[in-house]
Amino acid sequence: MAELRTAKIPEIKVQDIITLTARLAQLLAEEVDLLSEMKVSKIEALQQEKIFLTNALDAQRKMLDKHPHLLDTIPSQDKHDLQEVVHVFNNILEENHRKLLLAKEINHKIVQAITTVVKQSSLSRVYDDKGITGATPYSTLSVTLDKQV
Amino acid sequence: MSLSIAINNALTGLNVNQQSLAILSQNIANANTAGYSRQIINQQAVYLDGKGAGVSIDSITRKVDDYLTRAVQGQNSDVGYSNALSDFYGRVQLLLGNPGEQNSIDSYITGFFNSIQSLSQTPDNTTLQRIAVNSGVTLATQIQKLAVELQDLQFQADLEVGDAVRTVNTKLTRIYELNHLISENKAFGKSVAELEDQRDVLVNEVASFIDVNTFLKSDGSLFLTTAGGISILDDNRYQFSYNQVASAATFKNDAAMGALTVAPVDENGVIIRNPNTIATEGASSEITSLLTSGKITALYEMRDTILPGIIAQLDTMAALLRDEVNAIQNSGSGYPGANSYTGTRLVYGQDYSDWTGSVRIGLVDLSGAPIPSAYGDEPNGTPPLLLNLETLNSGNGPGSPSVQSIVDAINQYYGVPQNKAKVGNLNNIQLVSDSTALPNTGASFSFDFNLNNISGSAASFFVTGLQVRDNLAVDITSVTTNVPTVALNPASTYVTSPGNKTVVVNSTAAHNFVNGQTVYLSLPSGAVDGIPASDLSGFFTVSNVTSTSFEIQVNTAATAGGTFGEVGMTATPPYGEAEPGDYVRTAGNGPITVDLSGNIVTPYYDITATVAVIAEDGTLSTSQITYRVNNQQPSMLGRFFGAQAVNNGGELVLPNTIRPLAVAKLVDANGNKLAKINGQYVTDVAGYLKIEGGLTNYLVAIDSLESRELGKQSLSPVQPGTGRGFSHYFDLNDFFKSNHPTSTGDTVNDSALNLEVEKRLINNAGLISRGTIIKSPNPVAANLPPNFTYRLYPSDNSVIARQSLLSTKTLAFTAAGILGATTQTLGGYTGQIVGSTSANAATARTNSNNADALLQGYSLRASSISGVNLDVELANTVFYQNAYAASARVITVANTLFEQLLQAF
Repeated sequence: MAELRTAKIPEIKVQDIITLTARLAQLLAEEVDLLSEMKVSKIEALQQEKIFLTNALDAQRKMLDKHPHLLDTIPSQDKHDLQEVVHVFNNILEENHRKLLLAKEINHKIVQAITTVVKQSSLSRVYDDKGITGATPYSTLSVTLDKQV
Repeated sequence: MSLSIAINNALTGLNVNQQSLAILSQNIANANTAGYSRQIINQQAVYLDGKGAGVSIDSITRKVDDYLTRAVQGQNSDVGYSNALSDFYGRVQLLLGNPGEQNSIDSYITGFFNSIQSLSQTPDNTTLQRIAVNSGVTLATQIQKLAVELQDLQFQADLEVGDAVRTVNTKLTRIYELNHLISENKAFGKSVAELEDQRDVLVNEVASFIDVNTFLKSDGSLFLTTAGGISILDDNRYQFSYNQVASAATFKNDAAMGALTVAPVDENGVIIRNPNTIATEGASSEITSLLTSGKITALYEMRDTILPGIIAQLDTMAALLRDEVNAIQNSGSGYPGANSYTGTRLVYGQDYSDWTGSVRIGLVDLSGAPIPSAYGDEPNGTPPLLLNLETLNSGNGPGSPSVQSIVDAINQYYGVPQNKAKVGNLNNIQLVSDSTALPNTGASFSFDFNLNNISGSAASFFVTGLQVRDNLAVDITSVTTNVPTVALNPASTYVTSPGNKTVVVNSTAAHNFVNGQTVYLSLPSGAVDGIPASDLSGFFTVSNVTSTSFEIQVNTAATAGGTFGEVGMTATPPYGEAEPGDYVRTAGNGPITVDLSGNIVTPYYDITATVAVIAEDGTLSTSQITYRVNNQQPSMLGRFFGAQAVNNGGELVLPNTIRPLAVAKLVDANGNKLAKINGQYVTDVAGYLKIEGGLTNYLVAIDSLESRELGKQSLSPVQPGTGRGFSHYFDLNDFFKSNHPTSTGDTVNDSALNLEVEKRLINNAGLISRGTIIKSPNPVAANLPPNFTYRLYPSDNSVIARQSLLSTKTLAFTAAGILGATTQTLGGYTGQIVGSTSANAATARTNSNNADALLQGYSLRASSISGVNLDVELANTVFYQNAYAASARVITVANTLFEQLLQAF
C-alpha cells in the first residue's frame, strides 16, 4: 500500500520577513559605512549576502502572489514590528542609494578623465620600431574593462 | 532590546536622512524606470583608446592626478555655490515657515478668514469685529515683515558679495606673492613643495568664491582666469572691485547696483589697465554675470533672482488679497458707519472714465435709519442718492463722467436744498443745463431734466410745451425743440370708421412706439369726422402699433368714417422714465434747445415747461414748472436748477433748511479742499475724493451696486479700466491700504511691503463692512406718502458673509518667480509659495551635501600618496555597478513585498 502523501501547506511568517529585512538593513548600513570610508573592495564582499537576502524576500513575495489568502492569516500584532522595520529599512535604503550614486559619480568622472587623457596621448606623435617619429599612427586599440578584475 | 533599537544600532556613524516616506517612494519608483536600469548597463563597459608605444602609464597617472587637482578646484566652486544657496534658502525657510505650521504665512491667512467667518455669524458682536480687524492687522504685518526680511536678505547677500570680494582680493595678492617666491626658488633649485601646497590651498579657497581655471607656467608660477577666460592673476596682480549697496532700501526702490569688475593693479594698488566687467551694473533684473559657480555666483543668484522671485510671489498674493478684500469691503458699510470717507486714489477734476451701472449713496443716523429730510413731504427721512453713472455726462458723452461731474452730482443731491417741483409721483423735477455758458454764439440754451422718483411706482415724464420769458416777462419763445416727437402723416393723419371710437393715426416715419405705451398727441385745428379736436389731443394708450401707424380710443364716435389729413400734427413719447428710487437724467433722449436770440442781454430767463407725469397705475398729473436761468454764466454744463414756480397741478416744496446734508469734494493729502475757479477744479491740481455728512451724526453709507469703472473704451487702443465698483475705484472704504493706484488697478510691485490695514478701521473696528443699505418697508404706513428709504441694520451680514467666502474662492494668479500662472485660493497659493521654497531649500541642502561628498571623494583621491591607481579605479567601476544593481533589486523586491504586507493590515 502506497504511503499517503499530503501536500505541504504554505504559510507566511512575518517575523521571518522582519528578520530578513533587519539583516538586509544592517548589510546596507555596513555598505554605507564602507562607501564613506572608500573601502571599495570590502563592498564587493557584501554583495553575495545582499543578493541572497533579497532572493529570500523575493521568495516570500512570490508565495504571496501565488497564495494571496495568506495575507489574511497574518497576526495583527506583527503589524507594529513590520512598520517599524520598514521605516528604518527605508531610511537606510535611501542613504545607501545616495552614497552609491555619489561613489559612482566620482568613479565615473575619474574614469572619464583617464579616458580623456589616454585619448589625448594617442594623438601625440609616436615613434615606430625603427625609431622614426610621425609615421602612420597605430590603429586604435580598444581596451575593454574585464569585469573579473 | 526592541527590534527598532537593534536596527538603529546598525546605523552607527551614519547620517541618515530623516525624510518622509513620500520621498522614499519616489526613489523606489525610480528603481523601476528605464533610466535607472540603463545607467547600470552603461556602466558595465568602459572603453579606452590606448597605445603602448610612446605612452607612459606614469604620464597618464600624473595627468589624471592633474585632472583631480582641477576637479577639486571645480568642486570647491560647486561647494561654495551650493553651500551659499543652501545657507540662504535655510534663512528664507526660517522666515516663511513650513506649510500649515503655526506662524507660517498661510496660517495667518487662515486665521484672518476664520475671524471673518466668526464675525459673519454674529455681525453685531463688537469683540468679533475687533478680532477680525486685528487678525487683518496681524496678517498684513506678517506679510509686510516677511517682505522686509526678504529684502534684508537681499541686502545681506550683497554685503556678503562685498566680503567675498575683499577675501578673494586678499588671497589673489597672496597667490601673486607665492608665484614670485616659487619661480625664484625654482630658479635657484630650491624645494618649492611647501610653497606650492600653500598656493594650492589658496587657489582652492579662491575657487570656493569664484569658478577659476589654472595654468601652470614652466617657471612654476600659476595663472588664474575665471571659467569664462577673464584673467584674474597673471604676471600682474589683479583686484576685484565692487561697491556694496548702502542699505536694504536700495532693494525696496529697485535702485541700480554697481558692477563687479576685475583689473590688474600695480604695487600701490592702482589700476593699470581697463577693468573687465564680471557682473554688470543695474537693477536686480538687469544684471548679467559671467560667473557660473562659486559663492559669489550663488549670492548674485540669490540677491537678483531667487529672493526677488519669492518677493514677487508674495507681492502677487498680497495684491490679490488686498484687491479682493477691498472690493467686498467697498460694497457695504460698517454699522453705524462713518461720517466721512476719503479716497486714496489721486484724481484730477477733469479725469474721466467710462462707467456702467449706478451707485447708491445714503445718509443714515447712528441707528442706521435715514437722516431727517430737508423737505416736509418726506417724513421717512432722506432717500439715498441713486447716481446713474451710465447717464452722467460731463461733455465726453453719457456714461463717461468726469470726477468733477460726479462731485457735482452728489452735491446737487445732498448740497444746499433747492425748491422742489413735485408732480405726480415724481418727487422732484429739476432742469439741468446742457449748455456750457450763457450767452453763447448760438444764442440758445440747451437743457434736459433730472427726475427723482422716491415712490414705489415707475413714472413716465412728458414735456408737452415750453415758454421762455426775459426779465421783463416778455415772451421770447422761439423753440427749436429736440424733444423726440414723431411727425404724423399730413395727408392721412386720422382714419375713422362710422360709429366707432377707434381712430387709426398714421405717421410719416417709423417710430419706436409699442402697444400699451402712452403718447401725447398735439391738438388738431378742428373737429375730425365729428370727433372734437380736444378729443384727439392729449395722452393716449396706443394699440395695434405698426411701423407707420397706431390706434387710439377717443370719447366720441366718428360719424361718416374716412381718411382725414391735418398738417403739423405730432405724437410725443415720454421724454424720460423713472423707476422707483431713480435719480435720473433725461439726457439720453437728447437735449431740448430754446432760442434766446430775442434777448441775449436779459439778466435771466424764466423757462416754463408744461409737463405731465403718468404713474404705473395710469394716474396722469400735469403741471407747469418755471425755472429761472441766470444769464452771463460760465461753467454751466451739468448745473441743476430748482423750480422757481409750480402751477396748474404740481406742487412747489420748499426746504426747511439751507444746510447741506452731505458734501462731496476733492481734498489734498492734508484734507484741505482743492481750490475751484468758477465752480470747476483747476486742471493741474489733483486730490482725493471725499464724501462727508453735513453733521457729525450724518453717516455716509455707500453701496457700489453693479457700478464698474471701464477705463476709456473709445480710445484706440482701448484703455482698460479697473473693473472696480464706485467706492473701490476711488478707494473710499478700503480694508487694506491701496498701493499706488494706477489706471488699471493698484501696482503689484511692493504690494507685500506696503500691505497695511486702513487706520480708520484700526481705530474703529465697527467700520468693517458687514451689510449694506437696504430698502426699508415702503410706505411704513398706509396713510403716509410713499417714500423710497434705505437704512442699515445691525444684524445684516450680507457683505461680511461674502468676505468669509473669499477664503475658498479661486483666484487667477499671474506668473511670479518660479511659480507659473495659476488658479488657486489665497491660502493655496500661499501654501505654494511656502511649499516651493521649502522644496528648493531641501534640494539646496541635498545639493550642498552631495557637493561636499563629491569634494570629499575627489580630495581623498587627490591627496592619496600614490595618486590615482588606474587599476583600482577601473575595478571600482565594477564594484559600484554590482552594488548598485543589487540595491536596485532590493528596492524593487522590498517595495512590492512591503506594499502587499502593509495593505493586509
